Amino acid sequence: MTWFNVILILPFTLGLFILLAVLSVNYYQWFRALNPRNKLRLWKSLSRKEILSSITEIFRECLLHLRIYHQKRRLWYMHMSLAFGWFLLIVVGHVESVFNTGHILSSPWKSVFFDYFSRSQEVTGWHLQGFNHLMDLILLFILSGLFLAFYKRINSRSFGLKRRPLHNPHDRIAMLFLWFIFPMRFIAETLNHAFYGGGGFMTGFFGNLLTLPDNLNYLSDIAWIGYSISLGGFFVVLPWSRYMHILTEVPHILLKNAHVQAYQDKGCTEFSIHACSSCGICLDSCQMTNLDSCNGQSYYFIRKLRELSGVSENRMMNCLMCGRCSNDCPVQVDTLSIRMNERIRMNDDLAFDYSYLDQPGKKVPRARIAFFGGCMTQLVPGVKASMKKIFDFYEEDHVMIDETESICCGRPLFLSGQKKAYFEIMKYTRERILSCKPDLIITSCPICLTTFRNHYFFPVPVIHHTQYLESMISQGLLPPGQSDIKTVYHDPCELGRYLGIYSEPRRVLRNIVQLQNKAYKQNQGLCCGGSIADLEMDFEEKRSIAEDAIQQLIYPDTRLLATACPLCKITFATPNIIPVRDVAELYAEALTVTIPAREMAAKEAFLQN
Amino acid sequence: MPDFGFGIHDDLMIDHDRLSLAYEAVLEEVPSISGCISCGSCSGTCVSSFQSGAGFRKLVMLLKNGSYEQLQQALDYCQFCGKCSLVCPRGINTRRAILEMRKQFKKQGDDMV
Amino acid sequence: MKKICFDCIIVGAGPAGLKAASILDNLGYAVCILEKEKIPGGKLNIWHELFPHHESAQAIREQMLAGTASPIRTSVTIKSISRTADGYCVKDRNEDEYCAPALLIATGFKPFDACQKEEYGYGIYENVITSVDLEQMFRQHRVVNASGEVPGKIAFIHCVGSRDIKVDSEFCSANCCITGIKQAIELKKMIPHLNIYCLYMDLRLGGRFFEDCYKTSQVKYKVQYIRGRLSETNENPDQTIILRYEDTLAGRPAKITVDMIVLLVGMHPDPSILNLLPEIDERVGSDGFFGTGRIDQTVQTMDDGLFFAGACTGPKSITQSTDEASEVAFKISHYLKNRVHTEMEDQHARLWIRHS
Repeated sequence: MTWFNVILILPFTLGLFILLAVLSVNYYQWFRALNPRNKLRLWKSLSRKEILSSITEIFRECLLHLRIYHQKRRLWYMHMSLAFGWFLLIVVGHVESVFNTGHILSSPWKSVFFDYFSRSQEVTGWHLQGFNHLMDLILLFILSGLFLAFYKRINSRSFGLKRRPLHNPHDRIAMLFLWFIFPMRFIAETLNHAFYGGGGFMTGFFGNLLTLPDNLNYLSDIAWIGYSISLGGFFVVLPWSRYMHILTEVPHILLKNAHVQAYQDKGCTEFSIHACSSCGICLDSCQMTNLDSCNGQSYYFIRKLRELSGVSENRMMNCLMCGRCSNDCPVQVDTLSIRMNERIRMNDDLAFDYSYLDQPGKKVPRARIAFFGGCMTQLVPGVKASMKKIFDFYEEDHVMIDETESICCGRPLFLSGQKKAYFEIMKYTRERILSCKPDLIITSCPICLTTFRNHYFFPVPVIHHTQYLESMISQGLLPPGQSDIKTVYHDPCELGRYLGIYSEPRRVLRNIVQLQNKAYKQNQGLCCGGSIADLEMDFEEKRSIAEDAIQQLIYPDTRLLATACPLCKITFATPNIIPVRDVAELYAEALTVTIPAREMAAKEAFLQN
Repeated sequence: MPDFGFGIHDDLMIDHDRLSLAYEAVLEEVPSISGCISCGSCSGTCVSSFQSGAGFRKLVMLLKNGSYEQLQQALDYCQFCGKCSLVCPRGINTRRAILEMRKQFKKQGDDMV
Repeated sequence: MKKICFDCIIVGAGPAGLKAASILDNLGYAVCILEKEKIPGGKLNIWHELFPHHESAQAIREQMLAGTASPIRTSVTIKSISRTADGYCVKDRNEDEYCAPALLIATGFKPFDACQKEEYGYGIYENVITSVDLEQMFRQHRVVNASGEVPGKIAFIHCVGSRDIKVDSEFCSANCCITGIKQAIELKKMIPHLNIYCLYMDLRLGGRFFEDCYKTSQVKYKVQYIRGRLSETNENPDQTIILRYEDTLAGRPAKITVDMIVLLVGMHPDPSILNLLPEIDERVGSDGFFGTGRIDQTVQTMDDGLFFAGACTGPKSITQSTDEASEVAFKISHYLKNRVHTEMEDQHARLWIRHS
């Protein structure tokens, strides 16, 4: 080992060593920070057959980035060429050096600096020549992606990204090192082949083109050192930059497939935020990106969490919690849970006093169906009056729990991070609803429904009113009236993305109006902007999100916007662009048409059973 | 940390000569509360006002007048539902203001007189 | 398909349009008034009594109509308004054309659609009506609730559709408070045992004798005023309405049960005429009404023959409308004189050229 060889491999080896050390320390710390139950889940999942699906996912996502492929092709090629290309470079490089030296285990630098170490060798045999060409092909593949990456900094729109994400200094330094690695390799190999011959179709070709005097062969050595420094520098900066995702995606995927959620789990959160690749796709999905004043998107939020300074209150509270970002994330980072964790951490210790809710005297009469409108039902009395009409029509034994007063389910408290206060309210509200001993609970508010399904654990089924109406229709009780007014249905975030209820409201609407968007793509719904989870935006900003959403939803001949959430209804009605009606209101209107004898008979038969 | 340190007297008279530092602190985070016209829509729609007797309008009034003890007690009753934001004719971000007030009092702890 | 030329076309036969027409008439100009409804008079056709002295709207209407001899074309639906070198050309649905160098827009206002304030229950609960609906009942001399009975308790709700960012109208409509007081007094005269409550945010009574009305309503008619903006309404099984609000002066939440509630709806700009006028975006204020509201006259007028008067430039009472209409009529006369002068100068110039 000449002294020059040592200088050559030193930056690379030192960098690699530091990287592995820092990585081990971090991973160990984060693993220890997992909840005991989640640790167990992880261990169990590793020993089962599910490990195979994790491995395939690691291959498909970390290397091939298939989720980006389905969203934005050019961006996919850029990311994939770097990731998969580099992976191939390492693997094929290693195989090449094994072929050459005959040893299976050789030092890493033997394959990384293969062309340097094999300078003096004669390259004979098609298989060794073949490797040269293959390595060149892979290098070309990577360089093409690198060119795209460079071009993306100038013109991100051509990649389908509305906004170019702003990087912080660490990321910029790491990116510089990364951008130097492969061009340096190209230069080093080319110069190498210029002086010492050999090489594949690219490096050998360019090498032969350059006719340089032999006494300049130190240029080749300098280039090799440049390559080593780029590699080493990149490795050293990596743990403090976004490129941590390259390696952290692997444990993140393992945790995800073991059904470990980042919610209230510090270790999983750490793995998740470091698995974020800062690709910027979430900026595109976020409806706040059109407003210049908003800075709370997931991209910035997660990056701030990684930095020591942490997240400011304003940024943390500036999120609609609609779920569009985590739906589109190629790494499937659970942004909602991470944001909830941060909110709970900062706000869970605020004072509260709900003892006044303890009113044992307030009893609700017994009934088969308990209808809970939610606190906002008083602000949209049309929905309440419609549900009453519907229940009376079907002669249901029902009670409307919050007919004359507003009762809060507690979810707004939860979404702001005041978890203890939320559980306190939950006790009282749960008691009120169950005091009528119902067989079925129906609610017209998806926000309440989400919280009922997550935490309330009712002993009886709880459904949304559109599901109830759909069940009426499935039993053959179609409402008599069908209007031909052209209507577009809007999927509320909580009903759609959170609860997965898409088809029932559409089925109901198809039978009472002329529905224009019968087909739907799951999880692609727009948020109305009225979110109770966003505390930072002011009225004007929320309103412009609502206006944008309406313009994207409606067609030129749409006359009505239908929704299934009282908050969406209030938010969409404010800009006064198009009439907004809840599904229940439309159904009640359809009921008021005179009933033909046939339907009357069907109704009687149903009610008697 | 703003110094709330003037004593709260038993005097029934409100002294508008005194600045309410807590109000200034909340105003910095939520500038829209200066547009309050005291119409009372927020208190009328408030989920907890009928039981606890206090709505958002009252909270802002107590904050401005420096009646911190009453304010702290009234603040505890808020269920954070957000209806006050929905009905406010001036578009004030009421929930953020309440959160900010709660945080101010948490910071004070037992410092308050 | 006819084409008729006038000196001035007035769109709208309400108080402002009629007043401007009568002045321009007296000054000797040929004026034509185009009205979209079947009968002229504008909103004078829907009021019963006018504030502050409870004058009969019908009588005022007759007076104003008698004051002008200009032709009034009713049931006119304007299809397009175009601008030529000679002035304006208004085309209606029957392809008739009306041309004139000056065009006065006096289209008035549109009452706020109370269905937008869903929490007040208009259109959902039958005992919720607007001031316009109540005025209709006055004209028929019959005020009853949804079940046909005479009410015992009525609440007036102020500021419905005004000063409210949530319905995109942050302006004060200036005339609803006095309308409410006037209607309260009318109700008490009709039904002496009636209990009336007015829920207000602020009482804006800037006109002459408005404060007297207020005092009269309190002292003579015992109308009760509660300072608190209505938040929510609810309906009892017997169709009476419960109101939820805060009594802000007492500082506590409050409720009241009444037989009927009357929503005092604001005066809103009428957007239909805006779509027809060519390129006047800069003359529409941020609140949707025409004009800038400035005192500086040089900023106000553009010398293009297009004028605005009446409630279409902002919420106004009838007196204010007619005052503005008078001022604008004189501006129109001045404009027309200048035009003639310029045309005559041009003609003289041509004569000179020919001679020399």
